[in-house]
Order: sequence, then C-alpha cells, then structure tokens
Amino acid sequence: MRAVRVLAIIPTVVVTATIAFVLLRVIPGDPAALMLGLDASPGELQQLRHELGEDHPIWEQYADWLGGLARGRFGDSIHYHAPVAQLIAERLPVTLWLAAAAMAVTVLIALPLGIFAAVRVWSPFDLGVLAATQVGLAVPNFWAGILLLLVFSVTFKWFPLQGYAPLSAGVGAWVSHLALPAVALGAARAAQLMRFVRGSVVEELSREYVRTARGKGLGERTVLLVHVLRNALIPVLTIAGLQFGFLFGGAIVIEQVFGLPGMGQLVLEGIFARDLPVVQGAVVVLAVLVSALNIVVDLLYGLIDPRVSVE
Amino acid sequence: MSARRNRPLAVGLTLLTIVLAGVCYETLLGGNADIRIAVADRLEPPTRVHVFGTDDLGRDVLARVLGGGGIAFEVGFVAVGIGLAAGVPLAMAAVRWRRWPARAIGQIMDGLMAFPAILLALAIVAVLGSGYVQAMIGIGVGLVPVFWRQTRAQALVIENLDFVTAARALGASENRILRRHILPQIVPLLVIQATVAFSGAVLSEASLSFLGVGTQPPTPSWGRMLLDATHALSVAPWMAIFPGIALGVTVLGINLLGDGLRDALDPRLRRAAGV
Repeated sequence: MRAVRVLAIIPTVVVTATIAFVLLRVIPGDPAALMLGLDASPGELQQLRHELGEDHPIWEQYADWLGGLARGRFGDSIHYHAPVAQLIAERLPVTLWLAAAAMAVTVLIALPLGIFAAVRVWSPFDLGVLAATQVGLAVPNFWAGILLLLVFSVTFKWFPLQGYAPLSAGVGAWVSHLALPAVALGAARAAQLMRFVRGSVVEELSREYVRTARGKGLGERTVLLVHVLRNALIPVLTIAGLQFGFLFGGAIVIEQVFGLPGMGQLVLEGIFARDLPVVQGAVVVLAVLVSALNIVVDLLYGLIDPRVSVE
Repeated sequence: MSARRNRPLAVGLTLLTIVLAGVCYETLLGGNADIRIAVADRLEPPTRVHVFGTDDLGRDVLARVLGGGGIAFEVGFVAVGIGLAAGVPLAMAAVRWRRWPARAIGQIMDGLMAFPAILLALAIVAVLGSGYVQAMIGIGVGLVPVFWRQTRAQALVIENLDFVTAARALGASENRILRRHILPQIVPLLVIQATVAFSGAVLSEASLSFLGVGTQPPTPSWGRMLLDATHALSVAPWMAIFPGIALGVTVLGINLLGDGLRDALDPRLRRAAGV
C-alpha cells in the first residue's frame, strides 16, 4: 500500500508539469516573441523558436518536455547559455537548507510554547502566547527579515547583511548567513503551528484516558509526556507537513531580502531576463518538491498512528 | 453570540476601520501626495510635517502608506472575487456531474494546489508581465482551488443530509437542490474563507511588489515601499518600519475579523479551546 502511495507522486508530477507547460508555453502563444520583446528581428525570432523547439507541433513539444523531465532535463537557459538542470542543481541546496533551518526554527518555537500554553490554558502566559501568534501571523515574513537585518546586521553588526556561505566554507560562516533568514521565515510558521499544538493538547487533556491516568496516581509530567503528547502530536504532524508549501513559497521572498542565491532568485532572474525555460524548470522542481514532501508526511502519519490507513 | 462579547470581531473591525478611514482620506481627499517628488526633502526623519518621514525622493511616507492601502484592498477584493467566481461554480459542477468533469477538474485543482501560491503567481506574472493587474490575476488563480476544495467538500457533506433527501423525494431537480438547498448552507463558510483568503491576497500582493513584479512605481504599494527601503536601511529605517506596520495591522485586522465571523456565523466550527 505504501509503495502505491509513493507511486502516486507520478500523476502529480505529470499534472504539475502539464500546468507549467500550459502556463509558460501555450498561454503566451509565441514564447519566443515574449522573450525577445517587440524590437526583435525576424531572424532572431526564428533562431529562438528553433532553440525552444517551437518549430515542432505543440503536442511534440509537450512530449519532449515530459520526456526530458523523466530524464532530469529541463532544456537550456537562453540567458545563461547553460542547461537549466545545472542551474537548478547549483541553487537548490541553498533553498533546501533555508527551508530545513526554518522548519527547525518553527518546531523549536511552536512545540514548547504551544504545550506550555495548553497546560496553563487561559493563564496570562497562554493569553500572551495567543496574542503573539496573532501578531506572528500578521507580520509578513519579508518585513520580519528586514527588521532583523535592521537590528542585528545594521545596528549591532552581528550578522552579515547579504549573501550566502556554503557549508564547505565553514560551519560558522554558514550558520551566520542562514540564521536570520531562517528565523524570519520560521517565526510566522511557528505562530500557526503553535495554535494547532495548543488546540490539540488542550483537546487531548480533556479526554477520559487522562482522567484515568491521573486517577492511577501518575504524575502530571508522566501524564503529559507519555500519554497526552503521543496523541496530541499526531494531527500536528500533518499541519507541520503542510507548512512545507508555505516555507518554499516564503523562501522565494526571503532569499530576496538576504541576497541568498537560491531557487527564488533563479525564478526571479528568469522572469526579469524573460528566460522562460528557467522559470518553467524552477517552478516545476519547487512544486514537485512540495508534493513529494506532503506524500512523505502522509506516510509518516500512517507509521506513527496505526489507526490511519493510508489509501 | 452577541457582537459585544465577540472580541476578535470588535478589535478586527476597529483596526480595519482605522486603516480604511486613512486610505479613504488619502485617495478621496488627499490627492496625489504620493507622487509629489521633493528632492530637497529627501530622507527626512519623522517630523511634525512628515509624520512618517520622507523617502529617497522626498515623498511623504504617510501619504504613500495610505495610498498603498488602497492598492492592497483593491488587489484583495479582485483576487478573492476571481477565486470565488471560478472556484464555487466549478465545485458545484463537480458535485452535480460526478463522472468525467469532476475527475478532470479535481486533477487540475490538485495540481494547482501543489504550487505554493506565490510561485503560481510568479509563473503567471512571467507570462503576463509585471504589474498590479497581473498580480491580481496571479493571486486570484491561486485562490480558485482553495475555494473549489472547501465548497466541494462542504457540498458533499450537505448533500447527504436528510433535508436534501427529502427535497429529492419531493421531486426537486438536482439543479434546484444545488441552488436552493445546498448553496445557501455553504455561504457562511464562504464568507469566512473569503476573509482568510483576503488577508492572504494582501500579503501576496505585498510579496510580489517586494519582489519587483507586482505594483510598479510610481503607484504606491507597501511591498514596493519595503523593497525601496532595503536600499536605504542604514540611513532611513523609517522607510522600512511604517509600511510594514500598516501591512501588519491590516492583516491582523482581517484575521481577527475572520476569527470573529467564524464565531458569529458558524458555532459548530468554534473550538472548545477558543483557538
């Protein structure tokens, strides 16, 4: 059954790739004209049409696009004169690290605060957490990023203003370049996750088995850690998984604030240079990544909660 | 629940009223303060004349913040309108004709859902070009599957309720059942969903403009103002602070309004924990 679920990624990839194809190849009518602008000579247009494969029928272009994807090929960038797959391979690690670090920030903030708030429900601490989540949800991540830059890079000069250092350049440099973007991206997600953690724990705490556990004379700590959390965190996992979509979407914007050379910058450079193959490839890779992560979360859900059968 | 005891609704409405009053004042009475360039006054910190300071071209930041609010609301309304206008009828069609249209529409909607909203909007902007109309369309298209999924799920639940069976037994046609019995039941949910989508759309417009592909200068937009602010972060921090506060307060107001509406319109959705 699980193998079947993993295979379910295939139709998702096909549909995603088709949407990207329709959006960026079919709707523009003549992508070559769109890419070159109004002042292109007929010769240049003809040349680009040939490079894009536009001189073939549309269904043939579609088959080529899908076939290329299956072999990990996305065509060539017009602007960079390089295979799109190579550009993506250079940029993807930055975005993946950013998303992973932001996810870590999200979980590290949301779990402890959400659980504490739920244990002391309607206490001043809980009300404070609830108010903070409302603010966290309303603050756009890129503005949070700008404020972090203003405080920690411009005023205190603790962190670099812009740029990225790969892990190979040393852990210290890598962390200092990734810390602020990860916090900016993760904080808003944490606000959302915290609301779910709190709600889920409060709900579990009101169940009969908790009364039984307490009646047996178990300490509050044991009741919470052994009994309640195991049940309460199952639905939280799904919500945490859904955050991946938001994280990758947010990463596109956050990369711009901190000058990180990731997938978001690649998409934007593609848009500004009217380099449709780059936009098309990067968009598909990001969308497929989000789908794949959601499927992984679904599988984990089935592993953790035996009551859930993953169809 | 009475409106007096519904605190999120009251706070949300208050915040939005303040923002909207400012926006109306600027757009209806203030004229074109947002494009009045006065290079002599550039990068002035907040003073009594320029309460929020001036930007790199000497324009009053307060006027531009209020002008940007107009754009934010406009984009929000149009984008949510696109999402509703396409998502709800498609969902109804999927419920009415189960076989092939439902399957095909479902596949496309699931595919669209796989795209992070901002990414879909970027792809659409890549084709249509930069600008706030294109941004509206991009954000609106991203909202279609959201409304589609909500409406369809709810319609499928309601369709199995006794009163629908009764209507069917009395000989009501499928179209009539959808229009007169199912749709009205979904309206409260759609109102709540539209509020949530609205705050998302406002944030998306700001993000797209911040990336440089949304609203184009000289039209004021909170996202674009924040982009300009990043170039003058060490000399004019006020340029980065006030548009962000305006954006945050607006989104907070809409979110609270949404929470309040959920409490008021659909008591079944209210969580015991008050989340």
